[in-house]
Amino acid sequence: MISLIFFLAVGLILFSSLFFLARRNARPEGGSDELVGARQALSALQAGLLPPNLVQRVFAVEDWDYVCSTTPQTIQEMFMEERKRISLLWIDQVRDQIRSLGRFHRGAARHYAQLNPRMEMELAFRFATLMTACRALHLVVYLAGPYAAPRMVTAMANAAGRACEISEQSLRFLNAAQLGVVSARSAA
Amino acid sequence: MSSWLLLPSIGVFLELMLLARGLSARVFTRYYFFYIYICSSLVGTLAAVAIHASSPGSFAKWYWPIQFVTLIFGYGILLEILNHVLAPYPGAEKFARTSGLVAFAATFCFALIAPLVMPAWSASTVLEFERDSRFVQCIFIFVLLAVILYYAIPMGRNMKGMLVGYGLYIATSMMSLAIRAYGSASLMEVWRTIQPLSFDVSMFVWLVALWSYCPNPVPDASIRLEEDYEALALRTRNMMDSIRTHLRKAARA
Repeated sequence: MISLIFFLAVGLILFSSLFFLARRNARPEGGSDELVGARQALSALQAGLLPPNLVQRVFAVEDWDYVCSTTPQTIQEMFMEERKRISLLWIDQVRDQIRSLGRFHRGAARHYAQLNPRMEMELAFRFATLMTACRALHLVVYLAGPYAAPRMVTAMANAAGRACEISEQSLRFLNAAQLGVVSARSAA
Repeated sequence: MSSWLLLPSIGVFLELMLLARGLSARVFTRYYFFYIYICSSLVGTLAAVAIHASSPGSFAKWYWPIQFVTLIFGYGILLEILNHVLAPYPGAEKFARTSGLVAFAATFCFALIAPLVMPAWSASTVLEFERDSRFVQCIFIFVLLAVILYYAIPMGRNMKGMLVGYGLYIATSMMSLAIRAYGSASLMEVWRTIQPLSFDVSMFVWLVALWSYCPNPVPDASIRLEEDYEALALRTRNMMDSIRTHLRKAARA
């Protein structure tokens, strides 16, 4: 009976994988798309999402203290809702951009003949755990509000900042002239 | 026409249509391995029907050799997918080819060694052996799918249809063989229907997907990466480590 369940489960998983493959959009991408995407993700993180003053502003407890001391209950609730929404959007954006950097790695790695399958599996596992951690932070903020884990937010911002630094090194070989050519081709 | 012949007959008809269309649309010359499999399958089906009709007693004796030949040619389809889909991506191709060779070697060795180890095969032994062989092919397809999906490798209509059609057939075969190996004689009828029906469905998928030649999308090769793989992988790993360490610290805080 166990073997029957096992083979049926394997078959069903294969069915669902094939269904997913059939539904997937086969976009005619190339190396240039990943490069441009990674560069854009890096810019978005460094300039738009991770500057310390922005992070401090989004998660500033002082704002909440001020609202609590000077406004009625309804305004406080409205403020909390808005701030929570902004916080979740910020986390989602950071996660999306980090995912884009991961996509760049996969897009680049597949072209290398000396690719190391063991290393790739290890990286895939690490990436999955990192994404899970980001989702956990999202859950914490969703359940307990934007001021529940201030140190976690700071740490995430710092970690993402470090990821940007490392990715920037990876992307350094793509100089401005090349990027211009690639961007123009992608736009066309 | 008796009911057990109906579904295989539809399969043969679809196979003939697929071959005829492949020749007329000149798709045949693009996918040699695939069409060799179709030819072997057609010959195998006709031979099985002829043996069953002329001397049903000897059908069991010929069943496995016919299945084994088509099973081996079936790897040609996977080889075709490797050649057309993964060829522009040497890294991903290496990953899939290594896994595929291991799966193929395992099947081949198992098929050669098994008759020596078990000289007196019963019907259930043949059944379980075929089921296990299909399982190995399932693993190969899983690896191929994982590589294609993980690296977001685009597939054209021909290749997608080829993989989906073959995957459907292999998965259904394995499941129906598992049910038959487990079940009683009452499940025999289910197997007799599902097995040829899944093949007919695959044939239909192939006929639609390979109606005309549709080349696989080719990646933009104008940008040459100057770094080597080791450096790229190392940097990505460092990035992951850094982020994970920070998040762990934060979670504990």
